[in-house]
Amino acid sequence: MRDTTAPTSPRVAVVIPVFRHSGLVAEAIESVLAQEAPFRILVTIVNDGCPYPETDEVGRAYARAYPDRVLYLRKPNGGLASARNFGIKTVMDRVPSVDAFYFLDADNRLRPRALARAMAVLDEDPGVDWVYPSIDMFGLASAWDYSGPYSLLQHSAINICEAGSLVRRNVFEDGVLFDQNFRLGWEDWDFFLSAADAGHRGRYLENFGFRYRKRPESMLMEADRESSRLKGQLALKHKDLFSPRCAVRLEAEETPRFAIYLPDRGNVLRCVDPVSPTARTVDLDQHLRQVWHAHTLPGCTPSPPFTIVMDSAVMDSLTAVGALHWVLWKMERQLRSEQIACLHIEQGAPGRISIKETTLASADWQVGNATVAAIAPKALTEVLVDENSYWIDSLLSAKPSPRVAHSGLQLPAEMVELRRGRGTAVVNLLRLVHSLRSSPYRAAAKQAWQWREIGTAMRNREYEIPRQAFNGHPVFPRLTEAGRNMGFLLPMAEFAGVERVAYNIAKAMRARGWSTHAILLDTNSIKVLPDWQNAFDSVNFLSDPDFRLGGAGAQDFLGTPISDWAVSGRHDTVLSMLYWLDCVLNFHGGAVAGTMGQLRRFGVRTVTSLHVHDLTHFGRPTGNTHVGLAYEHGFDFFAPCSETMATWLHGMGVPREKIVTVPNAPGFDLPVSDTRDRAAERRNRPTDLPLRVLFIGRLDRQKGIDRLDKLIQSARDRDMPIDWRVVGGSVMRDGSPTAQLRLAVPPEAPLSDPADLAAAYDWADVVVLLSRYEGLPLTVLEAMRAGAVVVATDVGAISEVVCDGHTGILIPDSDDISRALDALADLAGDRDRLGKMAGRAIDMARHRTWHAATQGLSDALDQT
Amino acid sequence: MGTEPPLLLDLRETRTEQRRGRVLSCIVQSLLEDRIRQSRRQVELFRDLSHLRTSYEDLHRSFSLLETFVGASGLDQRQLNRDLPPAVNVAPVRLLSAQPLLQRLPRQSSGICEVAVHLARPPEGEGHLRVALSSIEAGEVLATWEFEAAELSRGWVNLPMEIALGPDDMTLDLSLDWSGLHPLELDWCLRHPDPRYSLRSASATTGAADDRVLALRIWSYIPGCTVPVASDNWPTGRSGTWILPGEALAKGISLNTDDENTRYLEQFDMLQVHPIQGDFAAALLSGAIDPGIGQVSVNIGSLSDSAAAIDYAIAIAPTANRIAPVRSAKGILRRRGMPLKPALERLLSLPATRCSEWYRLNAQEKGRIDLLLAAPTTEPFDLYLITRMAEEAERPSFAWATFSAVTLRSDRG
Repeated sequence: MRDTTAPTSPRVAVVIPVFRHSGLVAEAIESVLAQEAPFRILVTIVNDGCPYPETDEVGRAYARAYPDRVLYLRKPNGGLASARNFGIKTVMDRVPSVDAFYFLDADNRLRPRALARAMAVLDEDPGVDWVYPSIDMFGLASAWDYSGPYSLLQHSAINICEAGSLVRRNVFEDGVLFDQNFRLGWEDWDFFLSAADAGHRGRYLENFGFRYRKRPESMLMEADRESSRLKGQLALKHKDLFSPRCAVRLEAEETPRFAIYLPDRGNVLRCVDPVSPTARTVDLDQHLRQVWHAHTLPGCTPSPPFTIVMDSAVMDSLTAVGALHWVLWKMERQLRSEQIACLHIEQGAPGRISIKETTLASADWQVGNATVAAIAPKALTEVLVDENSYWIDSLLSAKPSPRVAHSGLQLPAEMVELRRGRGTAVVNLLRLVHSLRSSPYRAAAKQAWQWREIGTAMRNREYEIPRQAFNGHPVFPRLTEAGRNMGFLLPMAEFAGVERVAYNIAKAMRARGWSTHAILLDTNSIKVLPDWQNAFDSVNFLSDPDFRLGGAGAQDFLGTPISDWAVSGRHDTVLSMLYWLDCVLNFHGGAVAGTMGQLRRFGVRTVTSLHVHDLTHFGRPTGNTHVGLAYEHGFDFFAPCSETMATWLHGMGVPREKIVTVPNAPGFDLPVSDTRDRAAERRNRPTDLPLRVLFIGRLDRQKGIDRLDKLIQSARDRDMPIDWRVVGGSVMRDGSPTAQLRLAVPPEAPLSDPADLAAAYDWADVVVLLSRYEGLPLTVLEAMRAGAVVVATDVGAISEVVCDGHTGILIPDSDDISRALDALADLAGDRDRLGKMAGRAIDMARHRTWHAATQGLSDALDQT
Repeated sequence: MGTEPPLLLDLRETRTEQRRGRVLSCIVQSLLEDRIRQSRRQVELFRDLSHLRTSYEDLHRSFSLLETFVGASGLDQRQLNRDLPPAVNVAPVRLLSAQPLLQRLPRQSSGICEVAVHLARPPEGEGHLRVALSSIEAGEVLATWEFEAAELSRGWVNLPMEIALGPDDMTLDLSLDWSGLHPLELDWCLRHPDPRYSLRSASATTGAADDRVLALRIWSYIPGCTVPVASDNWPTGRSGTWILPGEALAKGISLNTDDENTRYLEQFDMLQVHPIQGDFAAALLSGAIDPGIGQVSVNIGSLSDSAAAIDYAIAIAPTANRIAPVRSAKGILRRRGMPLKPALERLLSLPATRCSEWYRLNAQEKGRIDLLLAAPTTEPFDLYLITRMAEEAERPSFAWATFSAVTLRSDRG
């Protein structure tokens, strides 16, 4: 317990380290002795091994002259941080009454009431742990103002707190001291960042009364010369603070990036992430005042730099679709080069979400019809100070003067019912601009008010701080407090094969409490499955013209070309889009593997989901599996869809601990209400009807469509009693002869609705799949669940689920279809065998669920 | 507190009987060294002080010469630094009795020499206004002004300082405290979004938000120097230095008959008193010298590069002894039909007249006349600005003799 009751006990200790400032230190001491304060102040002179005897003489003289007010300490030279720490520790040990420490360098001065005013701030607000000053420099005269609320984000970019601050004792009691490793300078910057790391916060005191002697050559100048080295030292020590995720969190708390004006509600949402609890609503009058405040006294008050206008119904729709954050990010990207960004939201085709962009207005996309409008920070500033408003008013003319970027977002009616009629965003933007221009505060902005220079130079440019990690690229506006966020990196989304696996894993992980986000790498249009919103919380398009999914590069790995983009492309757009995620799952995203190592450094866990080796023309394995190996170091986990693939990965040198198999399961869920006993139904089917054989899947060479065609024709040649159905379309345009093949059975359109798919499988007695290569096809598992007997080539991991002759029939991978023909003949002729195999297949597939499949991955992620 | 204890003396290897002696010897040695060190330091400080004093005296002398140069160059003018005129068609700020308001000044303190606020209308009834200028950093009141209601009228209320504020930049608050039955109404200029810069209550507890900024004028001058003030702004009874404004010079009247060449040159802020061949030329500034003036200084010089040498002089005389000009046919006040020289010489010879010597300047030369009075004026005086050709027979072609920066200094009270 500290005894602070003694009336003569000092409340404040001023620590003055002295090293080679023997000639000036008397000024510093005198300025402290002259303090006018209602409490006692202890001057603590720390002679930091100064080689000049005069320092000792001055120190001793003052200590003798003022034995109750001056403490003189000597120590071997250790640098500024060491000297301050020595003073702090000595006073903490010897003078329990001291509530706060002030650090005055030997060549600086204080005005007489400085410490009284600063201590009053600490006394008024227990939440304030240090009071930092305005800086009035003499010698090389200048004056600096740091007005406005303390911003840790700004503080991570520039040192806004001078060492000459009054610091509460509890900061030191929490173990925060000056780091003696910062011998070249910036030890004060590090100190305050450490205090902030420990949960302490500062407050600015304007007109503090701190006077700083500025010389052309000083320790600070030396520190500036070493700035890149020291900045690196700071970033290393305060790794979390310097991470973009933390920067965006601080940005959201301290200085929101967006002002989203909702004209129908008459208010403004100030936010980085509009659905985060940090988003704050202010009424329009308050917003107008704050905008002018920020323009009149730059640096003094936070005001969102980006202004965005939309109706609340539009914002609700974008939120419902999960596209709101992406829209904000997209518009911020457009506003790097353009002055106005317009988003046109339209009702698109059923079952699809699409985007388009251009800088040219068209008949469809007139500026005045935009659903969402945004104005760049610089453009808004210019408009506000413009003598007249012709320039901005021209937005509604046929030839707008501002540079405008247009983009379109087409949403399906089943997701969002859009209100018909013109968008009013630009009209409302103009109304907002005119409200600002007619504000009574506009006149004040034409005058100079602040005589000190702005020290908080990053105020209202804080959005640039997280951008620094991405070479200035706009940073995705998403906070992660809400929970665990998992990104699914998809080259495209037509939701067959690998994409359907992603879809099902997303649903399973979402059910486990993750928020899931579809990241479309290489497409502007996606298919939306009926239960889309059970799978993904948001949809996001990379929309980066620089991105190349594949393609040859100068390097190859085990014969698989590594694209130039992966090796040396501009990754900033991808990184700035993904940094905020807790985990990304790469689903055959090709070159995006080149960003994984960087994402890991941002704290994102990286997983690659691998399914199938592609084959070269000569049949050599290649593709995403090999790209995954090339970037093995960048992935935390490999998630193969089968044990076969897991074994291959381990064999290729991937550590066993990094391999977490997510075994495939049927690609769609049966309705909960569907409790039919399919095995019994199949046993009761008439045995005299033709065998019903189904092919379902992509109509391409990999799937052996040419083999299927031969099989059908041969069966017909033999007059085998078979009813054929072929369901599917071609997704990959491989240009091979098979793509041009005209099948003997006209194919039916691909199915995506679970009920239609279930009906197709229920119809079939046999599902045939003569693929040349595979992973573990969903078709096989779906067929088995339905009790359709699978007749498939023994490729990939099919044999993991199809036990030849027991739960299905496996045939060698060959263009010779005779074994398949025999199998069909056998099953057509022996319905009893067909029924038994169907029953065993159903039993086998029953345990294949996505929940079970993702258990291992979920456990692995929980453990890291 | 204080210094650390002295170093320990290791006596383990000293015999017991020798320890006392060794301790004393050590103490004496230590004190002796300390005294020698202190003496040397004291001598060093004496030396440093003497150097500083020499340097200070040199600086003082240089500053004095600089003052003369600035004065002679006509540079000693205060500057209107900020002008925030009253907004129109708005209700004024009502300054209630005993509810003082604070207004931060929108610039740093350095060099500020005068502030003005704008009264919307004269106060009703009796009252008293106290205005104070304070620095926030130092917590000091730097200047105060007091006005009775009768002294206040609609328009700018000037708040001058004798000495411009020093070079140490600080932030200033103007506080206005009114005592009266009816509120004092002040004009404001604009609304400000930052409450630090708009009007606020001086009382922390009743600090109602007001986003208006008072209409203000702020003048500045050389920091820390005595301010030359336009005399119409100078409150009666104040001491200091001020310069006659251009309007006062423009009222100068030629005392020579039909002299078209004596006139106020607005672009130069000078009064031209063109010499007349064979006569004196003079301009009269009626009643320009108030009671209490102890020194009159005037800049002199020709605007011509090729004129012959010209003599300049100034004189002050009681208004009762004024050489009366007469009205000419052109409606300008003139003396009719007579040379000026006899009348002026008569005036200059009167005991109450104070006049300078003649100052002779060639073309392109500039100079300054300082008329130091033995005693301050006790009544209003006229000022006479006089020229003549140095050679009486010389023609005054291109003479263009001028007077400017008429500076009056009163003794400090």
